[in-house]
Amino acid sequence: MTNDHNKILMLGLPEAGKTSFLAALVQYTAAEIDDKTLTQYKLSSNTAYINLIHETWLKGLRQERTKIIATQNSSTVAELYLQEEATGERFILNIPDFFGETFESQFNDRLIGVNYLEQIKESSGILLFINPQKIRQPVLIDDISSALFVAASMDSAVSESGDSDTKDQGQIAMDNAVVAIRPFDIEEVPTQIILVDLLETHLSFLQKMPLHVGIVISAWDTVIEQDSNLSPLKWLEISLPLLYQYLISNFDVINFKSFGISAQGGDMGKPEVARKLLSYENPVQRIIVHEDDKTHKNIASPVEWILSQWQKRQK
Amino acid sequence: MEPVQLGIYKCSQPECSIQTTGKCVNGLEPKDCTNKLDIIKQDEKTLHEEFGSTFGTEDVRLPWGESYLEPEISHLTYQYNCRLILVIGEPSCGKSTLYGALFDSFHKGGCGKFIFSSTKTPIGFERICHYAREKCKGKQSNTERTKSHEFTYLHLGVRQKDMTNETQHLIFADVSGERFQTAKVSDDEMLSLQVLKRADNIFFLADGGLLLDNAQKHVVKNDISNMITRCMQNNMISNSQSCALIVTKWDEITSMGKQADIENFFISPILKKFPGILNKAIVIASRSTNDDIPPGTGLSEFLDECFRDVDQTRALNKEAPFAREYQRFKYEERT
Repeated sequence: MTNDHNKILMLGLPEAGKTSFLAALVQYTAAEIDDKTLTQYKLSSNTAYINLIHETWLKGLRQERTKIIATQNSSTVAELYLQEEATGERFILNIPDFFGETFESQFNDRLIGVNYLEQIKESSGILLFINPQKIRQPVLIDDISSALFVAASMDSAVSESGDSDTKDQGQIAMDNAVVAIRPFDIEEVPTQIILVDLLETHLSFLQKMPLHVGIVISAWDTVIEQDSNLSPLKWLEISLPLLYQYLISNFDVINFKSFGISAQGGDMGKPEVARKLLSYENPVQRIIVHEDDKTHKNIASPVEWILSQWQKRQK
Repeated sequence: MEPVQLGIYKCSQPECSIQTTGKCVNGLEPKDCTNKLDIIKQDEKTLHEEFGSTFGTEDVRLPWGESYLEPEISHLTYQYNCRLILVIGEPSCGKSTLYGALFDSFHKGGCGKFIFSSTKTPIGFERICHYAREKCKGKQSNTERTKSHEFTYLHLGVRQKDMTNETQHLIFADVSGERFQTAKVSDDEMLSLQVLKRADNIFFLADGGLLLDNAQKHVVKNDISNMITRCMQNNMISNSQSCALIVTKWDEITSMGKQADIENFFISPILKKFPGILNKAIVIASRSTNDDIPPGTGLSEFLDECFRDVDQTRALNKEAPFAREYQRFKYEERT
């Protein structure tokens, strides 16, 4: 039996689902569940933050933004004392819950904290959170060309129909559009560019390769509502192709696995959904985890995966 | 309005006067300048107060993510075995659109046999894509970045889809068309463009839209011919470099059914005039409104050409000698 510290960093842009995941993870490790691989053997010395987000999760309420909670609590680090059931191995899992704006401004302002750099060096791996509903997709040159082509076709159709007033107004609008070019705004950069840059930054400061990355696609219930057969990896390929290519092509330095996770199980803002989810006897039943074409309730699986990869490397 | 204290701000853009006048190259206050990443306060403490330190009191500055300037390029060439790619053309001939469309193709899932692997200049690429997209809307501006720099460099790492080799790194030189416009008519100017000698691949780019215009097509042909001739006359290009001709807006040419005309009037005569220098001609439609010509036509051929004659075993060797050569090179200062 060993006693070791393992640090896992949670990365993600604002409202990516990091805090909800952490709250559900706390519930999972503390709950009485059969066949659980990780159990909590001791409470950490300060559980104020953990209790707050855990209670919010149990009540099915929307998590306050971490930025707001951080102003009221000295620490937003979750410290979990875990034991692996199969081996009896004990370790302390440290998960600092940085607010999403931290990572956004890391990209925008090109600054990273010295303390955070230390955490990168000490970390066993990264959980990268992506909320499918908060993705800023790129507007490509093709998209604009196609839109203009459609607009021109419509103008032409209007012209042929003899509606000269409408045509004139359309022409005026086009003429006005030629006036000024819109300045570049860094806050409009597509999500996948920011996520790739975040991973690049982590890679550049990492001392041991490869970097283990658990990709957590949060609010997975919203994805399976559209297509229940979609795997997290396929979703990544379709929705964030540049990030997908980056992960695939850097296989020698990035070891990744994707998970589709709904920590709450559905949109708690909808009364009928909330009623159903809150009625479960065991709150863990709310959780949806899609992994390797299987669906289960073990929200700790991304953590377990990182730890298993870390242990492999240690051996 | 509170006056800007002179000397507090500085900008990485060499032509920016913010340090001496308090206003940026576009005449804007520091807080209004869209290139705010380039403008920093010289006092780091004040910088934190303005932008807010999100991690802690001590922050480490990350690479800008913008296009590299010439003195910074060695950071890349020390780290990677890079190929320097140079696209030459008249102002507004579509160089930025070409780079933008190339990067866009990776936003969609890859370009030909290559997939995206890395970039050290994500903001630089997004900036160039933004202006290319705006130009597609028919907008005009004199304030875009390309014109405020003479040489900037974009980094792109790509890997073959079959993963048979390591990531290969390209550096695209983004050079203002005006600079080549002057070099085309002056030996002195041409000799100052040492980037030509250092480039692994040189592409001479002709605006296909202008080739459709009877009043312009002879000028375009003449410009390209003069440019290549003056390069050769001053020994700025050699047989060891890979050179090719690019004709843009192929969708417009196809829409008008002028492919054969352009081939006979422009492509074939130029290739015949410079045997042994120009390897081939590539037709490109960075964007397309012609159903027969898919958008991005020619981009994969362009990317393939960037790796022409690259020995894959050499690409796998991180200690390849030319990585060190870049470190030593220094463009001649303009006089």
